[in-house]
Amino acid sequence: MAIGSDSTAARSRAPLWPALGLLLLIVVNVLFDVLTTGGPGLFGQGAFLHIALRDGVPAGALIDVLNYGSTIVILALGMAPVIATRGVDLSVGSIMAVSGAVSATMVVGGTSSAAAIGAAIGVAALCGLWNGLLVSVVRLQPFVATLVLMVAGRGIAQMITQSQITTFHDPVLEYIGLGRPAWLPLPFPFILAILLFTATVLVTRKTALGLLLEAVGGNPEASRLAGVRSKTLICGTYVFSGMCAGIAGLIAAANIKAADPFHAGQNLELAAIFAVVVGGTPLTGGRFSLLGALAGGLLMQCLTTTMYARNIGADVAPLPQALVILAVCIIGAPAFRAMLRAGRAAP
Amino acid sequence: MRLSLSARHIPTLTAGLIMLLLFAFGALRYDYFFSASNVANLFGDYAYVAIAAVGATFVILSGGIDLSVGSIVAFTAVLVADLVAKGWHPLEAGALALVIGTALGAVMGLLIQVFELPAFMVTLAGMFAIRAAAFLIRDQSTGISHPFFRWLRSIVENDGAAGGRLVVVTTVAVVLLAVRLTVILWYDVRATSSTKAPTVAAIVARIFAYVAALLGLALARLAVKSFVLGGGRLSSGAMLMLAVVLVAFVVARSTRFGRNVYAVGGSEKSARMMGVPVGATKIGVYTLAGFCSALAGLAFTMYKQAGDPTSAVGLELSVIAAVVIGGTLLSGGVGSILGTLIGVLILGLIRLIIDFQGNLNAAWTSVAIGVLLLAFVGLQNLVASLGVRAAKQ
Repeated sequence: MAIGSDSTAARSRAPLWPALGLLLLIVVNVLFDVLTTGGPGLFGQGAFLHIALRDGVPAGALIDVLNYGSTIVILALGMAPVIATRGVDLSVGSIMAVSGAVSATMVVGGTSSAAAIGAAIGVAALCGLWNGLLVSVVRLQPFVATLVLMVAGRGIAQMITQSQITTFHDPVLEYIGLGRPAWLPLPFPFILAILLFTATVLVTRKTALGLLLEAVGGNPEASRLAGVRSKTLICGTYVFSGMCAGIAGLIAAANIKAADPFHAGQNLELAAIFAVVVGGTPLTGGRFSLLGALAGGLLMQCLTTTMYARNIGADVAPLPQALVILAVCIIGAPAFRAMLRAGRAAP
Repeated sequence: MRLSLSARHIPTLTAGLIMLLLFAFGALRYDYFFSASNVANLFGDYAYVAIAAVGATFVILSGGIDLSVGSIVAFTAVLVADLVAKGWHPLEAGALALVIGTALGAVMGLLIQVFELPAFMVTLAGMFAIRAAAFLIRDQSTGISHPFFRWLRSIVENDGAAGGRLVVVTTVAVVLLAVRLTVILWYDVRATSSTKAPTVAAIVARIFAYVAALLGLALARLAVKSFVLGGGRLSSGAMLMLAVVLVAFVVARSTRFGRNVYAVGGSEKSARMMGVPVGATKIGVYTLAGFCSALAGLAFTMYKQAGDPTSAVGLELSVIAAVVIGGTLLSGGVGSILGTLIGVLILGLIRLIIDFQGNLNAAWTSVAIGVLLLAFVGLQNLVASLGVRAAKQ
C-alpha cells in the first residue's frame, strides 16, 4: 500500500487501493443481490447496480454513492492538505452544522440566497482560521485545537438556530443539494465536488503550493530554515478545510431542506480522515494525493451505502466502518509490514 | 518533607486559585450556593466525570490521549441497563461491564503500542465503534430499577447527620489542601528570594500565595458559619469517586507503575534506556483508562438510573479539559491526580454558576470549557517557553 512510502511513483499509485476497495465493495453487494434467494438479481429493482429513471433523472444505489459521497469527497479535499502538514481537523462536522445553521437562519430571516451562501462559507472559513491560528501561532496540538471546535461548534450552531431544526424553502439553497442540471443529469453535489477537485489540483500541482505544503509536512524544521512560510501555509490549510466544510454543510442542509445543528455532519470527521489516509496521504504528513482523497471519499460512502443496503442502521453503521478503518490502518502500518517480513524470514 | 516549587507547578496552583475564586464568587452571589447539600450535589453530579478523568490522567501523563471515554461510559450504561432489565443482578452486570471496558482499553493500547498507530486515531475509531456497539444493544434510553439500588441508598445516604458530617469533612479537607499549597508556595518563595533576585515565577507565586491564603481563610470562615444550611448527603457515586481518587493518588505517587508512567511521559527514549518497560506501561495506561471509563459508566448509571446510548457525548473533551486545567501537560510527564480533581471541580463549579444564574443557555458550558481548555494549554506553553528561556540563561 502506498501509505508511508515516499516516491512520486508511489503517489501516482495511491488511488489504486481505494479504487480496488470500491470495486470489492461493489462486488460484495452484487454477490448479495445475486446469491440470496428472492433477491433482486443483478440489475433488478432494489439491486445495488440498479439504475432507474425517476423524473427523467438516474437514481439508484450507485447514484446515491456519488450524491452523498460528494460531501465526504469535499471534506476529504480540505482534509488532505491539513494532514499533509502533519495536522488533522476534527471539527469539520461541527463546521458543517454551523454553516447550515447560518445559511438557514439568514434565508428564513429574509436575506438573499447569495448572501446567505456567502455568509455561511465566510463563517466556516473563520472557523478554519480560528483552528489555523491555534495550531500555527499558539502551537497547540492540532487534534486538541480542533477537538475544542468539534464540541463547541455544535453549541454555536445550536445557539444560532436557538436549538431548533430550522427548515427553509429557498430554491437556490435547495439546488445545491438536490439539483440535477439538465445538461448532465448527475447530482449537483457531485458536480461541485468534481469542480472543487479540479480547482484544488490545479492550484496545488500547477503552482508551487503543493510542493511547499509537502515540504512543511515532510520536514517542518528544514522548510522553515529554507524560508518556507510554514505558519501562513498551515493556517491556510485549516482555512481551506473550514471552507470545504462550509460547502459540505450547505449540501447537507439542502438535502433535508433544513439545518440540523444536532446531527449535521455527525461522524463525518472520521470518514474524511479515513478517505484521505486510505487514499495515500500518511498521517505523519508529507506527500498527499488528491485523487486518492477523491477515491477514498467514494469508498467511504460506498461502505455506508452497503451498510444501509444490508439494513444496518445509521447509528450502528460506524461499528463496522471503524473496524474496517482500523484494519486498513494496521495493514498500512510499517510496524505491521516489518512483522510480516520477520514472519516470512523466519524458517 | 521537601517543599519545592518549580514553574511547572504554576498551572496546578492557578487551577486551585481559580477553584477557590469560583467557589467564593458563587457563595457570595447566590444563596444556598455554599451549603452542604449544594456541595454534596456537586460531588455527586461530577463523580463519573472525575472517575473517568482519573483514567485519562494516567494516559495523558504517559504522553498519550484517549478519545473513547464518553463512548465507553455510554456503552457501559446501556449494557448494565439491558442486563438488569433481562434479570441480571446489578453487581453481576457491573462486573461484566468492568471486564469488557478494561478489555476494550487493553485492545486499544495494544493497537497503539504494537502497530505504532497514532493514539488519537485508534481511540477516535474506538469512540465511533464503541458508541455504535451501544446502539446495537439498545437504541433508546432504558430505565433501571432494582431493589439493589434502594438498598445501596439506604446504607449510604440514610443517616442525614452522618452524610452531612461527611460533606463537612470533605469540604474542610479540600480547603485545607488549598491552604497547604499556599504554605508550600510561601516557604519556597521565601527560600528562593533570599538567595537571588526574584524571578517572574517567584513574584507570581507570591501574589498567588497572598490571594489564596486570604481566600482560603475567608472560605473556611464561611464554612464554619453557614454549613447549617441544608442537610447534604454524599451519594454512593461521590463516595466511589473519592475512593478512586485516593487510590489513584497513591498509585501515581508511590507505585512503580505510577513512576513508570511519569517516566514514559517525560521522555520515552530516556525511559527505555533506564530500563522502564515502556511497552507494558503504555498498554497498561490504556487498560487502566478503559477500566476507569467503565467504572465511570457504572457511576453514571447509578446517577441517571438509566442507560442511554446517546449519553456522555463530548465527555472526552470535558475530561481532557479537567486534566489539562489541573496542571497535567498534554505532552506528558508532568501532572497530578490532585490537579485533575481540582480541574473537575472547576468544571462543576462553572456549571453550577451557570445553573444558579438561570438565564444562560446550557450550551455556554461547553463554550466555557473550551475557552478554559485553550487558556490553560496556552498557559502551559507559556510556562514551558519561560522554562526554556530560564534554562538557556
